[in-house]
Amino acid sequence: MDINFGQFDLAVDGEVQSGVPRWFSGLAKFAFEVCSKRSIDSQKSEHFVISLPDIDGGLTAISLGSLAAEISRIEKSSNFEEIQMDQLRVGMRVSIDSGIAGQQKITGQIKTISLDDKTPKIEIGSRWIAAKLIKKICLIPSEAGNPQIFERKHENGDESSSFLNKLTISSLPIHRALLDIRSTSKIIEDEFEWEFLNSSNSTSLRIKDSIRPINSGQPGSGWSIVLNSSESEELAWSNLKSDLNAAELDADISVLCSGAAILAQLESINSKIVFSIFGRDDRQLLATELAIKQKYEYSRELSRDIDFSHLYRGIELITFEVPLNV
Amino acid sequence: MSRLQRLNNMYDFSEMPIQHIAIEDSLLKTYSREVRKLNSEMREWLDVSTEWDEALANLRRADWRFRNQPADFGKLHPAKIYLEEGLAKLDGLYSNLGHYVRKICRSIIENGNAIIRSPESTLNSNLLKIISESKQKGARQVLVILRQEDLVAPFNDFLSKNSITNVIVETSFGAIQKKHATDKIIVVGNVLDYPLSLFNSLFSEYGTTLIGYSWVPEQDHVGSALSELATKPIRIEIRHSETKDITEAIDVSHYLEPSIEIASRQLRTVAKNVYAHIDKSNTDEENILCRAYLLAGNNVVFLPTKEGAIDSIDMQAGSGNRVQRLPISSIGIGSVILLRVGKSDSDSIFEMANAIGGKEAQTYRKLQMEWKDALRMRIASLGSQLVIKQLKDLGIKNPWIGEWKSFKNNIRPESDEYFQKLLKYLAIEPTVTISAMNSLRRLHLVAAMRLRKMLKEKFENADLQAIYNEGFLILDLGETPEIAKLGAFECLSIGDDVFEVPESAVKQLQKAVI
Repeated sequence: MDINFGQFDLAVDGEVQSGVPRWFSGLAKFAFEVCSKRSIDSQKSEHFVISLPDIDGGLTAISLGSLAAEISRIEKSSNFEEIQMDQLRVGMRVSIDSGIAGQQKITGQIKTISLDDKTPKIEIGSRWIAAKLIKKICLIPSEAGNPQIFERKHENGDESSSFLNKLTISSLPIHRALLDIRSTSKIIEDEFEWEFLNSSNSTSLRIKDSIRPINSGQPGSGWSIVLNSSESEELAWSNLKSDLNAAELDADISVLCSGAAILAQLESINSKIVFSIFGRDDRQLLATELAIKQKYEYSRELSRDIDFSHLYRGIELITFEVPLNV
Repeated sequence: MSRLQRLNNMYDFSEMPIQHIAIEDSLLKTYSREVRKLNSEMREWLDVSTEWDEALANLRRADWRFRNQPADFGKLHPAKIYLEEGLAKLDGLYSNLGHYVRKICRSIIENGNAIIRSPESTLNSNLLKIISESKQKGARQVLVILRQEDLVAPFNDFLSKNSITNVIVETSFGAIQKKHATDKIIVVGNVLDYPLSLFNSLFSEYGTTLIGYSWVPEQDHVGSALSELATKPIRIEIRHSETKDITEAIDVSHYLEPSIEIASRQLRTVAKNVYAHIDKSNTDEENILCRAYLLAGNNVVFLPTKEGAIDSIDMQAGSGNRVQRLPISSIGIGSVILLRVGKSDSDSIFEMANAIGGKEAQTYRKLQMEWKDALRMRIASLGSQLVIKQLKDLGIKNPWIGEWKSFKNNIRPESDEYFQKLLKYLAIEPTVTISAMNSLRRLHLVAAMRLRKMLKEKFENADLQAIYNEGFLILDLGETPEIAKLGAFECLSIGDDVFEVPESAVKQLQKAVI
């Protein structure tokens, strides 16, 4: 996936600008680079503090880039490894082709394995399947949801289309929280109304369609971005989280947008990548800067090289890392 | 200008250098430098002599206002009023001092009187010239930024008297928050007198011009408070006009707005006096390391140096977002903090929790009293050190017995496991007490939430003009007699000295004693 806004124009408050401003696309590209080159097994929390002349637009640009990187990573890594019957363990999430011709796909978590019975069988979800009917067993990566939908989406994905189109493909089943966005509801609700217009085919994509808040549909059939902006989203998340384990609930990437969010979260946040975005016109600027300085005091220099050439003029970047759980 | 256009412009113009115009004014230069010299010579005297302190405070305020307050330059110009008062005080003070100081004082009086007689201000004429030139270059809307609120109205009057239009006058806070559509920014004074965000978050097509005086040193660039840590810092160049005076290295701090320094000197004396009056008779009470904060309305408060948060008012926020809880470490000069006037915060929560809980609360309090008394008795008979050791032997890693024994400020240890061990150690049956303390804790939470809600509602909708005018505003919390009044106070100065203050006096408003 490449962060290219191509044919799209940006529309804010009904006003359309030709193309997407470089400060905006630069932020999205920067976030994509940072997230797509991260080490998955890292035991560090990498912090990227981004100070903007004005907070407007920062949240969506960083979120779009981060989200694109996360989805791209999961797409590439979700290969549904095939395993044998004797490798099955209780608790595994699997997709099984069963039936005489393997015509039936059953997906779920293994509850019971009774291969020594007179009629060997296994229990998946609430169903018992005779071992002799099982043709193929695939282990489902913890991050991916329903494999049939995932594979179909993956096969149908058009490599040439813009990343915005890919983000808006509905119900891409990611079985985990991808971004933990913390901001004021005013910023979220306002910026999520921004639109990208494709003049060549007259299509319009709202940021809200690309960065979906928590999807209240079935678990495994929508991505989950933790938002704290409204009660209904909290409720949707509550429904969804009962089906996810702790690791899946914790997004690897956090976006703290606004001084208030940084002040409230920076000390306790423990994601692998943390973007802290604030405007230099923020009202709580002094307190925010102080909180960042305090965190910086017990940090280390970032242990990998970051390309910040995409960041437009007027943007300041502070980077550091701390061990996870500090 | 549309929102997107404004954002694009902001980024595009963000690295445009700031033009610094340094005005030459020989009369003011001599006066300004002599006042600086006198302040330096008399530094030791300022703490002990109120007369010298007042005389120099007036002379310094006058000096600063001549360089920072564009307004009608008649005899009612505030700088001239300060100067007259300062000269009158100085007149009777210096005759017995050494030759060097006498010479400085005579120079100040001579030059000061000449300035008072002068009908022209170099600040006014230069500022009007820059405004006019900017308009000729194409600027349609000029934004002039002055250091503080009381300078705005007089300059607006001056502009209208001179029939100058399309000029908006703001303080830095107003300018940053209101985001006026402007294509030229003029800042009066020195960079260090303003928040950095004025220079790194406000940009315009025809750039920013800074207007100061040749003998006052100016920065060569501005960044942000975090630039030193940044991987990719911002750095905005300041281009000085050719008249920049570089004949000697001068400490710029003397030329900045002097109120903070004057208040800080006042605070040193006041804080010691207030501390001396605090009741320290309760030896059981824990002492907390605190700094003194001088507040408007002649008040002082001691706040912990290490941790804690306090309610504050964001003066720029709209109704509904004004009251915010901030870490104490982030309270600065100019912050507006909320304090109970009269009873303490914990007293109010304590009493409200009792009122909410009714009879059940009385039962919980009895149980709370029982285990706290048992702990106190154990400490009294064995001594703190032995009690701590015994608790550690039982597996309690950090026995905070000082905090635990406090009745009003503490309900139970956080850890269930430790609390159970502690109660067994005190020979108290744990199940009932733990359950009661959990209920009591919930009552305290509800009380704290209610109190905060009442507090917020009052200040969210109040007219805050009194804070701008007087520096403080006290409101009654209404029909709840057990809750005292609540006040919002502007912080004028923060002391450097650290005091050991009894817990009950921390965060309590104290009347300043001079």
